[in-house]
Amino acid sequence: MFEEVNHTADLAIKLVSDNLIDLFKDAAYGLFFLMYRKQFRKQKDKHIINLSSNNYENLLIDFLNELIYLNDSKNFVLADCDIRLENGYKLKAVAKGFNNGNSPLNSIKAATYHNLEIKKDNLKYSTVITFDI
Amino acid sequence: MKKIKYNKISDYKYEISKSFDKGMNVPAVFYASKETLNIVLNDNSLNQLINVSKLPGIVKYALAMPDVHQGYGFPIGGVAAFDYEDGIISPGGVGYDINCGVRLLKSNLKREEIASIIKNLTMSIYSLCPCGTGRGSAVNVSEKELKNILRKGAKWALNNGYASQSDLTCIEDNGTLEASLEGVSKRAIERGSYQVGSLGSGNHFIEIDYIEKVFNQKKADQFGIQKNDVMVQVHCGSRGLGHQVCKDHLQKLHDYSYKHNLSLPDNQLVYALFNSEEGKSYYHAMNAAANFAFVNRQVLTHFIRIAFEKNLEKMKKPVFLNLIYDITHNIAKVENHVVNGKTKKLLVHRKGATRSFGPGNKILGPYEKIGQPVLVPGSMGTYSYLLTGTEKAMNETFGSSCHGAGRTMSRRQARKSFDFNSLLGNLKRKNIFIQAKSKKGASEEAPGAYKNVNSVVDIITDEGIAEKIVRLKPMAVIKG
Repeated sequence: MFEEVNHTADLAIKLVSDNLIDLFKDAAYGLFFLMYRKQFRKQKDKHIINLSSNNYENLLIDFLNELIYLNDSKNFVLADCDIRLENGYKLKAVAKGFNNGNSPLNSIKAATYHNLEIKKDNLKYSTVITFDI
Repeated sequence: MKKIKYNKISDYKYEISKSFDKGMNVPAVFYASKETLNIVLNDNSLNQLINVSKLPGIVKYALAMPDVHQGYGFPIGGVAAFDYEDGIISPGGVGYDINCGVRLLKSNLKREEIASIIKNLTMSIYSLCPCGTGRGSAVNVSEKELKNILRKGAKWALNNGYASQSDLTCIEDNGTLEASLEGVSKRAIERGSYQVGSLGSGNHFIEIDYIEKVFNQKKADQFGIQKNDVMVQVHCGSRGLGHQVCKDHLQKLHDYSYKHNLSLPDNQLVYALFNSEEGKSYYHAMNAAANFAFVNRQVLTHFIRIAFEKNLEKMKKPVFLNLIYDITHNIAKVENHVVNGKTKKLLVHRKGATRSFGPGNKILGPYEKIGQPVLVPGSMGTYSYLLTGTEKAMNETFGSSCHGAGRTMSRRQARKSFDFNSLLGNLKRKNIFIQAKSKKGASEEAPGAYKNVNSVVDIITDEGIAEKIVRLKPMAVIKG
């Protein structure tokens, strides 16, 4: 689950998810919601994403920035994604969606590492992500 | 988060002592008025400034200009200088939009000469200057040409017919910084190749203004500007190329951070010693992205000039748009400053802040005697200012000033508070024409979401960091 939270200059979302994979998925859906203010269903194209990092926080930001690059370069919008997390902070994802001709309502330059911490409380994973716009 | 304790040093200057929080290497100093103090205290920007004061090699103090507001890593409006030999460089002190900046052009036209054609003129500019996100460029370049842009900056624009020699003398560092492409990824080059000459979105804009008020007639005369002169502002940056350079180097510096077991106050403030391989790699790649931004603003200027010529060809006089100055808001630069009576070589980070050098500095070229032009764009539909830098800025702020009005309201709140049609109506009542790619984007930039630019500039000028020359009022605004 994601919800937009206030940030003076940029945009931010709060995520609360049942597990780490859902947290990554919710972050991706939240990113595209911030950009287009709607959710997409059409799955015409797919992109394979393979990443590794030093910890889950950095891996999450790297994943979101990969999606931002796909949007900037190919107008790709995300409808669904399959994610696999492997030992050593590795991510394998299939991003499914389509190449949208319309510009986003909010352009997002990048997902930032600002104060990023993935917390686990009461079996839920949560974090807040700030996006530079 | 503990309550911030501060001391008032002067009418508009406050200090958070270095004993306030564990790990602070220097005090944190910020500028605010009675009106803006509560805003500054309530949006997390001072916690971000305190984090900056904890970075190694920081000199004197971490500074926040009066337009400071919450960002990520550094606050927006943050300035910090680091020792050249032992200090650090941090992409978090520059931001993703490397060399986001603004330029001011002066025309030989009076307000009344364009009043009747303002809509057509604005639409011509809009059709020639791509706005919004993603792909879109005013000029197509090959990968080889793009690499030339990154190496040569504004000189590339001069060599390719998009600039004059006099344009280059009126750009900070003449529009060319020492760059190397080793740290610029293939992906960054790909993103740059489809965005040369593009405005982007967010708070980027092109604005047609006129001079509404002259504060310093002598200096206005030296600039060759008078009341009611038509001026143009262009605000944009390095687009996807700059974002990619920042992202690539943040990733590399996280590896550096792990390798050297660094303790960070905020992961966005990841850094490297400036004199390390990683630090130099980022510095030269950042400069390459800055060169791209200089070219971006210059190419847009070229097309704005074409739009003016085309729309004013019925006039029996040639139409000029001469560059007053082009300044950068997001950058880290090697500069000499006097600290404790001694001249020191420093790496000054400015994130959402403007260089504001006083008179007597040879690098200012035509402005050596009067001081650096400092451009302060206000929020949409309000005033903007042309100021000049002062000696006091050199002594107190590492030659830095504010870069705008500064937000007070989140974009989410602004969307809820300001309806686009009401905004349009308000601008229309003020005789301001707006052309915006995104209605929601324009609502987020509504004047009510920002501090009053007059108050922010008053803080700067009352503190003596810059001097007021003229105030501008908009006639038309193009938003990405």
